[in-house]
Amino acid sequence: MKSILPLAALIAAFSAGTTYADDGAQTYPWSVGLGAAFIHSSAVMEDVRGPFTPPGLQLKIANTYTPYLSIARNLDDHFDIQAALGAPPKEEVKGKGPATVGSVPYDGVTLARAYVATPTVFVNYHFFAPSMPVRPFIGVGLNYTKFFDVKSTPDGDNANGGPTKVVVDDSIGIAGQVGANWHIQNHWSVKGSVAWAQVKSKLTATTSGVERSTRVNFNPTVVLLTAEYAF
Amino acid sequence: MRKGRGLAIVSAIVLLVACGGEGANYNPNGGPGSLIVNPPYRVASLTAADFAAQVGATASGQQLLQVTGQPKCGVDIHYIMFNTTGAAGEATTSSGALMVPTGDPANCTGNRPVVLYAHGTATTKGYNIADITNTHNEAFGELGLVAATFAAQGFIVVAPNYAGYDVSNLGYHPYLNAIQESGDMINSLKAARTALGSVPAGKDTHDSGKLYVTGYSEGGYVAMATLQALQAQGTTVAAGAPMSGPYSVAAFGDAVFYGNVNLGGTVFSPLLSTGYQKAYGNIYNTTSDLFTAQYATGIDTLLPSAESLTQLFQEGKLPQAALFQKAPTGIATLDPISPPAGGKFDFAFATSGYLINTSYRAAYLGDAQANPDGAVPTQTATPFPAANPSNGLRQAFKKNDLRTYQQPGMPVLMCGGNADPTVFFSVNTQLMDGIWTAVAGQGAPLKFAQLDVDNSGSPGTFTSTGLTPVQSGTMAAVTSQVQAGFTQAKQAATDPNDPTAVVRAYHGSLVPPFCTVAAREFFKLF
Repeated sequence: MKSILPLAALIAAFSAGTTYADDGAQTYPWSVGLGAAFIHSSAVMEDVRGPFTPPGLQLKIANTYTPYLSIARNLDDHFDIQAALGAPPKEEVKGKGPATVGSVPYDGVTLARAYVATPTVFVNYHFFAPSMPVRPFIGVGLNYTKFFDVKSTPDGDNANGGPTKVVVDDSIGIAGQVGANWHIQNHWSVKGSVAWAQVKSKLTATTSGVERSTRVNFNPTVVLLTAEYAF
Repeated sequence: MRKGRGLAIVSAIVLLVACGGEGANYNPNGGPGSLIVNPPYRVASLTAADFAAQVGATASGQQLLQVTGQPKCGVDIHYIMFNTTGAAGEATTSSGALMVPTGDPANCTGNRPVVLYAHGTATTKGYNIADITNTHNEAFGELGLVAATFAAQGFIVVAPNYAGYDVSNLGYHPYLNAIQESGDMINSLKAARTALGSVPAGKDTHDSGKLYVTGYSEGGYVAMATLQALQAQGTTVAAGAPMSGPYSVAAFGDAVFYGNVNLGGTVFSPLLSTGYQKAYGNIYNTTSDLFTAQYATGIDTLLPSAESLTQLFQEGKLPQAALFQKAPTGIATLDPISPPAGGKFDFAFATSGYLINTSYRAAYLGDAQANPDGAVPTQTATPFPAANPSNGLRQAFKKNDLRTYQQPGMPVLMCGGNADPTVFFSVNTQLMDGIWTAVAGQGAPLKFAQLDVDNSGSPGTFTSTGLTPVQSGTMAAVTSQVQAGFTQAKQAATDPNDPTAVVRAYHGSLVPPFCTVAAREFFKLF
């Protein structure tokens, strides 16, 4: 379920004017960032539940890297609005729990793979003056997470008891970040930040007519490093 | 927590079958015997060692493995859902288990024989003989016994839950209905054979074409009815072993109404009356014709139940033991058998809170006297059901009485215990044995045997007709072993503080493991 809120914020950003620093040094209204994101998920979840399902079965989400793109528009000397998107990384869902269920391996086995798109919109506040070379910032925003091309693996089918279809619901939640921008020269900066988002979802696996599900709080922590080009 | 779980699970599966399962083929509209979800769900896959460890985790499980033998094979247990037919010809669904042996090529994979197994009376709707993950499921003990005795020893097992149980959308269970239940068994076999072609274990383990049929208690009856039905269809069965079953249900029913009440009679009554009423429509006009006012309302939807029997007894929905009114009944001819002399059946009679109307009992017995069964109350030279019963229930019993099966075309072992208080040995097993003996005596080439695991009473023996000396010799040795084991189990169950302990355990716990293992050893001969 997409929210129109991020879009409305972007539209508002377009109508804000270009700003210039008092000392005449040119500040650029837009910046584009390209870099990498390292995503760690400390997922918290209920035990997987359903018919024929013993207690104590959980899942863990493997860490992953992804290329990252963002575009930001200054609103004034301090605030900007930023839309961020990673190239949807492939996330691996692994079993967490007993070594085997029956005699079938479970713990540590890759049960499913999914591609995840996590467009996020932030409003950030940059400290200090625009002319300062290093400006820390904090941001709050909205994250939309969509899982697609979710597929059970052969090991997942084996552990689940047959050919398995996996569905992971979309999530909308609050996001936050802290970081710092290091202005190198003219158009170029380097930005580093740590971001969190509230990503909650229901994961449902259907195997030969038997449905099991769990609710997951993904609790992602994302470490970002980008090269920024302002224009 | 467990109270509502059964229904919640049932609804989760039903809902999902309705929605379809991607990755598996979902076909609800096939004819009888068609598999609804293919490949069927695999509940568990266990190596022989893991299976032994799981069963042997409890003391009773270890004892079980001592009787059945240590598992030679791993077991894949699949949950099959298939189409079948109800007692009034209605299309309905049923479910069950397919157990496939895995592992050792010498004993477990390649071409393996199939055992079609019929389970005993179940009172909870959630009964599921495929659910090895739930120790609280009513089927769990029987699942373990069958998996350890057969699947872990290299037999493919097919075991239906019966229509009316688990996810079956039939709103009742056709209890002791020969046509419906044998049909359910045959349909489960057809669906299981389809499943074998698509399950992972089916790559290595194949149906050799050799078929055995067995079952315990209600399942003994169903096994016998299935042997009869398969033979009528021209299907070859390698051997059969009905165990502790009410085969001559009309004779048994008359014996009960005459006052020789079986333990559990109050539980079997609503299952019988509802099943036959749905099939034939002539057991009663309203339930209060048969049942006392205290219990009549809702008794036709009481069993199978979401609740346990204990809960039903506690809630006063069914009496635990009292079937008939205790004398004085107001009917002079009834009083001497209310209860019969001797004390053995006193438990089933009470001055209040009994289940069956005295007027109904009197009417039933009136018909029993006017149109007597050839075996009860007196054994005659023609020990067959009454020629023309007019009481609706006696008509239903006669329709389903298996004394019509007089020439089994495959070797059949009938096993039981002579002191069985729940399914009387003499009026069922010995009566069938006597009929077959007479038929064989007239020259029919029958092969059958009777095994009494309880050598503390009469007959206490193994007898056979038509077996080779090697076969009967082998079974004589098996008999010694199972009788010794039974005696030991009986001693272990004896409680100086509870004189009823052995009687209450006899049918449901003491006899089954020994008869089931005897059935396996009998099958190995054919």
